[in-house]
Amino acid sequence: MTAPKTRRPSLDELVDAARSRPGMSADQRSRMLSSILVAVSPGTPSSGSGSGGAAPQQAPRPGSSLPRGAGALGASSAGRALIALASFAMGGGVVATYYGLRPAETRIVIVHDRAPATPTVRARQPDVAPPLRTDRPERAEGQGEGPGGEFGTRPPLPEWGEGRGEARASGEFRVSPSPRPAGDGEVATRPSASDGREFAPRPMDARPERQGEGPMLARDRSDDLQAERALIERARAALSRDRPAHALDALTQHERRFPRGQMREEREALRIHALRASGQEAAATERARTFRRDHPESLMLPAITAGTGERARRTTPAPGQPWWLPSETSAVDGGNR
Amino acid sequence: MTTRAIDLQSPDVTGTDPERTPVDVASTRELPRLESFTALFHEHVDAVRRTLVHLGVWDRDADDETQRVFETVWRKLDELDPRRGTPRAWILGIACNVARDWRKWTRTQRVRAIHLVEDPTALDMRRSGRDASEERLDHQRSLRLLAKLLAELPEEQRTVVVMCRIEGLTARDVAAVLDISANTVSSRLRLALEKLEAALDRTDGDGS
Repeated sequence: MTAPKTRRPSLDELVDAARSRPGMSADQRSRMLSSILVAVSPGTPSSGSGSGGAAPQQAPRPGSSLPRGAGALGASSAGRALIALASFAMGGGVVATYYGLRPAETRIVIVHDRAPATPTVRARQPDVAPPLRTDRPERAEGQGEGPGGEFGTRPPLPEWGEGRGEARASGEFRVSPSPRPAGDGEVATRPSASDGREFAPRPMDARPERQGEGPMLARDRSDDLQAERALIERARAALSRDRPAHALDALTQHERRFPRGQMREEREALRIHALRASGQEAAATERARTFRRDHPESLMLPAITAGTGERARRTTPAPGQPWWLPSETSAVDGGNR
Repeated sequence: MTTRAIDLQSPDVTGTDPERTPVDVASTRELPRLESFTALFHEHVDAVRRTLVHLGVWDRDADDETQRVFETVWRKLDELDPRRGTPRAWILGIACNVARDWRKWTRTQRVRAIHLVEDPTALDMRRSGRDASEERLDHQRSLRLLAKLLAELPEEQRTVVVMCRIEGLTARDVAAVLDISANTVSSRLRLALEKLEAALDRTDGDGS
C-alpha cells in the first residue's frame, strides 16, 4: 500500500507519540504483578544464595543477567503453590491476597495500615471479622510430600511474618497487629533463605471435616486434573517462550503435588526438554533413559531420544506444531547432527 | 483511608469457586518490601514496557520481558540506593540489560524466521484496528517510524536516546546506571540525535 506523502515529522512529535503509548490496563497489571510475585515468592531462592539440595541447577538463557530459580517454587520449598497479589493503596494500606494454585484455595487477605495500631481486615465476605477462622473448604487428601497422594498434597501455607509458631500449632492464622520491623520506612531486607523455607505441612487435625467424603473426592479428581493440566500447560508455555527455568518450576510443582498424576508422562517429557533447554544435558539424558524405560510406547519418545546426546538446544516449537511430536525441529535435525 | 482489594484470578487456575474464603491473615515482615515493590511496579511498569519496546523487544515478548525486569527489581530491591539516582533510572537500567539479553537471545534463535514476518508494531496496529481514526493512524505511523529510526542506531546510542530523550532521565542518572561518564552520555546523545534528524530528513514521513 502506498501511503500518501506526508510532511516530515519532527523528532519531538515522535517522542511524544512514544511517550503516549497506551499503558497496560489495570487488569493486565494485576495479572503481571501476581505472576511476578509467584516467581519471587518465598520459596524462590534469592539471587546468589544457592537453594541448595534438590533444586535442579538451572541455566537461564545464556548471557542472561537474571538468576532464575529453577524449580525454585517447587523444589526448595513447599510453599510453591502460592500466588500472591499485592495491591497498594496510596492511603498507606496494603491489601495482599494470596491464592493457592487450586481453586478453592484463596489464601490470605492482609490489610496493613500504617496509621492505626490495629490492622483492618477486609475479607471479601463482609461478615468475616478478624481474626478470621480457618474454615476453608478442605479436600480430603494425603499429607506430606511422599508418594502416595495421587491427588496431590496441598501446598502448605507459607507463613509470612511473626507469630508463625503459634499459628502453626493452632492451625490458624490470626491478625497480628505486629509492629513493623525495626527498619520502618526502609525497604526491608530479604528474609534469610531458611525463612523462606519454613513451611510446615499443616496438621491433619486442622481440617478434619472433609475426610472421606465421597462426592468431594470426585470433584477433587476433576479439580486435580484441571490443576495438573494447568501446571503442565504452564510448563509448556514457559518452554515455548524459552523460559526453561520457569518450566522446571511448574514441573517440579506438578511432581510434588501429583507424584503419580495422570499427566506424569507429559511432565517427564517436558522436563527432559526443559533440562536440555537449560543446558543440563547430562540430567536430560539420564531422565530420557528413565523415560524410555517407563514409557516405552510413548508418542513423545522419538522427540526425546532424538535429542539425546545432542548439544544444548532450545526447544522453540515450530508455529502451530506440537513440540513433542517428532518433527524437523527435534527428531530430524537432531538425528542428522 | 481507602484500601482496596483486587480480586485476582491466577491465569493458572481454571474456573472459579464461589466458596472462596479468606482463611489466613497474618501480618508480615515482608510487607514493607512488598509495599515498596508494588509501588515501584505500578509507577514504572508502563515506562519499563515502553522502554523495552523502544530498545527493540517485540511487542509479543514485551510482557514477558517486563516481568523479567520486575523479577530482577524484586531480587535487587535492597540495592536500590536513592543517592545514586532515581528509582526510575535504576529500573530502566535493569530494563536495558534485559533488552540486551533478549536481543542476544533472539539473534541465536530459530525464531529469527518469525522476525521476517513480524512487524514490531503490527500488534499495536491490529489492536487499534477498530478505532483506527486518522489521529490514531498518525500515532501508529509515528511509532513505526520511530521504531525504524531507533533500529538504525548503534545500540549504545539507542539506549541513551531512549533513556534520556524519551524517558526524560538526566544524563547523570543515565551515566550512573550505565556505568559510563555523564560526558559520554551527552556525546552519545548528541550524536544520536544528529543521526535521527538526518534520518528524518531522508524519510517521507511514513516510515516506509
